Amino acid sequence: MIKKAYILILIILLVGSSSLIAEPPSKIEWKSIPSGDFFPFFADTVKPIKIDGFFITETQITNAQFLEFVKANPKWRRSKIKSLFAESSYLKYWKSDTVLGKQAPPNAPVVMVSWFAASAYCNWLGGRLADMSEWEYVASASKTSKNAYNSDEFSSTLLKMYEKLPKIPLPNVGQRFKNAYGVYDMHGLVWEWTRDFNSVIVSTDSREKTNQDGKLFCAAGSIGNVDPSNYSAFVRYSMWSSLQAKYCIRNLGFRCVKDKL
Amino acid sequence: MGFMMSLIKNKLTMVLLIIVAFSFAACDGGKGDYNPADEKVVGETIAELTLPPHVPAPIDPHRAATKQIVNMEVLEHEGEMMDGVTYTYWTFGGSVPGQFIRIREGDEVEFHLKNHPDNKFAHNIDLHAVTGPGGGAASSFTAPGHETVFSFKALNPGLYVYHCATAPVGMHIANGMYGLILVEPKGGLPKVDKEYYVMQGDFYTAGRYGEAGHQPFDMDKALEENPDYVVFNGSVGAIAGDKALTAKVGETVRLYVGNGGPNLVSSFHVIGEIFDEVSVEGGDMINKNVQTTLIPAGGAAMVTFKVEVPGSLHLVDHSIFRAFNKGALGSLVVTGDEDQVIYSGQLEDKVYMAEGGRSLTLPSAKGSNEKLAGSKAERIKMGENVYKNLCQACHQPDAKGMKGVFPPLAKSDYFADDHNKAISAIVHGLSGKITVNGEIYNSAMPAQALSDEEVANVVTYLLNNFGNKGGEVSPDQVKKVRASGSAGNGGH
Repeated sequence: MIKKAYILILIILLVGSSSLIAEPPSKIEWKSIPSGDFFPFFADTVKPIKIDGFFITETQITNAQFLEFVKANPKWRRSKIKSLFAESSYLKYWKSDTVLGKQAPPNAPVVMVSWFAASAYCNWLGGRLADMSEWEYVASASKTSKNAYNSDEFSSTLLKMYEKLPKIPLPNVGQRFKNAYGVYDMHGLVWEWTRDFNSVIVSTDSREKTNQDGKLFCAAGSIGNVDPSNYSAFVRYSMWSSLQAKYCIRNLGFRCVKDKL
Repeated sequence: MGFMMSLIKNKLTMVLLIIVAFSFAACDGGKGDYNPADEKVVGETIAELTLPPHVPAPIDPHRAATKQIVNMEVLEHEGEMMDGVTYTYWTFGGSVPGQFIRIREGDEVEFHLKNHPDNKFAHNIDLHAVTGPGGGAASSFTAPGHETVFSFKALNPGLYVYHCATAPVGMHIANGMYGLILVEPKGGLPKVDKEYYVMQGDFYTAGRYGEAGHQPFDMDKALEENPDYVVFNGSVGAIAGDKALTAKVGETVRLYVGNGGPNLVSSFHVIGEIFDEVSVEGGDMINKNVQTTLIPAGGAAMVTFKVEVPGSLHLVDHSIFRAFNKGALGSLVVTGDEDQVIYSGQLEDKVYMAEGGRSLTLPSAKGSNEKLAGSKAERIKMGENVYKNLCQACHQPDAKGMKGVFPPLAKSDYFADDHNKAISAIVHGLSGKITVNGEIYNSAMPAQALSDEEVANVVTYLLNNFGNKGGEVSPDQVKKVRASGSAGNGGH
């Protein structure tokens, strides 16, 4: 009997340390986003992009949630990660490989994570990072309206929130800006990775309209976008286009999405 | 054969002579042959960068072209726009305008742009001195916590603006991301005694000019090109009062003046000076004897003048409401001996009667027809008109003055216990150093052409408004002060 129990524990331990079977954290809340049209900020035409409905995490992924992931997947620990997949500053506010410490409160968004690590986490959850257009689709909801994308007032409010992004140690997720979809902190806490962060606007000089590919659009100051006064969108797209997938940044976190089946 | 030999010899001599002549021309710094692109770079140094209003020391005219390593850090931080008003500045090197870069043509610059990890936004830099895509912007897009490096060779001498070119470009510039880079011509600029760095910029805040508290950037006002602040060196009073530029009589001063914009064009003028020379738009063309020079947004100029007499010279944007109502005002304080031949100072002040007749001294100017106040309340009411017509242009509608330039009359400790000091300043004028509410002012106010009644009214108005302690001044009291003395010279 005792022997059997030992074996059982052994099996549980073995299973528990395997990334294949380890259970993702249970407390992640998913919000359902309905299908709809999204009018992209950077476009030659005003044709909408069709967005299929999906689920999105209610908040950004927290330090505690990411900790479960690295515990279950040692190769994503700070001391183990391949330099190809993250800069040396990866998870630098954590006390150690598996201890958070004061600079990284458990319920604050995890930051200093590369795109590779963020993608791996979402895959582990059975999801993925959102496409930029999906992300912007959700982010265009104000507190009261699901589509405030063209509201100057909303854009202006966002600019003010961006100026006041909080510093390390970051506050908890889910306490600030809740939008009309019931999704928290799309703005004003940290910037977020998207799956295709570097694919739409590739020019590093924001004023030119790239002629490399007529279908791609740079962060042009006056051309190549639908609404040149949408400064808050300029800010986000600029941020995305300055990134590389291995970058780890103090105010850059992520959330995940899941396709509806 | 001998003839042939001597002919060849002569030809050789000729060739040699020509070579020698050419090389002399080259040594003379003959521009004709000099191409900075071809000049070899010798050694490398870390470039000295300075915060405004200072510039690095002139380059030794004999220094070879060198590799200059420029380390510039982008910092986003809160700063003071004026007393009680804060703003989140985005800066190159911590200041607005950004650090001054000084190199010579032929230098190769290795530019390191560092975006501080605490920053919230991505940034880059476009230097107008760069020949290449985006002026460097295409190679310097930098996320927070990262550093980018690019290099360029300085091909054209001149004074150039640099700025951030990350979308939204207007917002990055409006938050203070601009500065100047000087590319000295080979052999250097003419020597001067003092050099300063001044840069104008317009700012767009949620609250209007002077509204206290933290003021966020206002996108709508920026689009309408309707700034709340137009300032030199990033804030109201940045080069005034105890931070004024200084020079001594007889010195030659060169100002490196830029305009970051983002929107306005500057009509740059120094009150009480004539620019002996202006390098128009920061280029090679020299214009002489200039009163006001136009500096476009994203442009610059070098102005040089010799200061001949002591006093305060005021730097303004001569689109003059910007100077007196939006902050585009700075000072250059010149110390030294008077030269009354060049400038006498005021010799006389008397009434001019076009119809003829005897000259009158000021006090009786209004004559016996003047309306007299019947009560204290009426005195205050009449005093308000005087204030609005005459005083508020400098002392401001809220009587808070302008730090370092015009002393405040609101909650003023200068005349709180001695009303005669206020009266004297009006009837006699006031010049020299005074301290008001802890701030030093060293300027001049002319005597005002007001009657005893009007002076009594306006002083009484002041005493009963703007947080002052109350009280009343009578025309008789004014009369006594007027009779008792001459122009006040400071308060000590």
